[in-house]
Amino acid sequence: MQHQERLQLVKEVLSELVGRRVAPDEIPDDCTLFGAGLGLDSYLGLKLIVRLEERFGILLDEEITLDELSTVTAVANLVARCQAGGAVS
Amino acid sequence: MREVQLRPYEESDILPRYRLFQDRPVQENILPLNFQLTEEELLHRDRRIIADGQRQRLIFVVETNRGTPIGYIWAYPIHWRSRWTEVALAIAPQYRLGYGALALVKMVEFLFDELDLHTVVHQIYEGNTLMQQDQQIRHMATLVQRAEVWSGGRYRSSFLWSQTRAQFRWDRASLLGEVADDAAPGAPAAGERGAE
Repeated sequence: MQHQERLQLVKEVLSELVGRRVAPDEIPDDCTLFGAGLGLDSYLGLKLIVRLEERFGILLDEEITLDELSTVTAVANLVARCQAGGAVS
Repeated sequence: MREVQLRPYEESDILPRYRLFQDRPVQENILPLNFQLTEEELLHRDRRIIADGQRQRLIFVVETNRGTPIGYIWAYPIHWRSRWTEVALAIAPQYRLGYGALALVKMVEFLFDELDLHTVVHQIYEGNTLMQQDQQIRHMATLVQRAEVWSGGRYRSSFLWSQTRAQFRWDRASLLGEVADDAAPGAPAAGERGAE
């Protein structure tokens, strides 16, 4: 899977999570997920992990932290690492 | 299933918990009494609580499945005669990803199933940034205490609601419906609830 394709899928997941309040194409690559950016809260963070695992067919680490989900690019990189070598943290 | 574990609070956990109480978002979302104590006062108080068998203030350490401590959850005060309590929790900043909601489910299950309590009261302070958005909380609340506490440089109202065992079963299925594989079949999807 190419990086751009992965980024686009991540944005689609994020757009679904926020109830389509923001379209995938309106989400910048460097958009922060929590706080001032997309405004995800902790519970949506948990949902994000579950949806990423479902959408990409991966298993993320049990101890994944906020740093690894800080921006859209960070999430795409996390997914890429996981796809390359199994569960990552 | 992504989940957390709860283990009994011990003396070696007192100072890490004190340090977590110094985190500003935590201070803005728990009773000020918890962080107004000095390190020595908290040590003294919590040693007494542990020695007393935690009969009135039950504290657990929240851990990942690999045993990494990521926060604390506690029930206080426990009204044994009328069988109700209030629950609060604090999760380390880097783990604010819903682990608190999972800890809350596990804690309330324990309170109902093992301690046979009848009601659990939840309380959220205005401006809470550590769990679901304000509007959802306000919708859930059945009691509002105006300007109840002073924290983070302003007065905050608190929003309270209670859960009976039956309500908890319903809420648990709703909360975990999308994040676990053992939610009740046919569980309602609407009205996501949870706390962190």
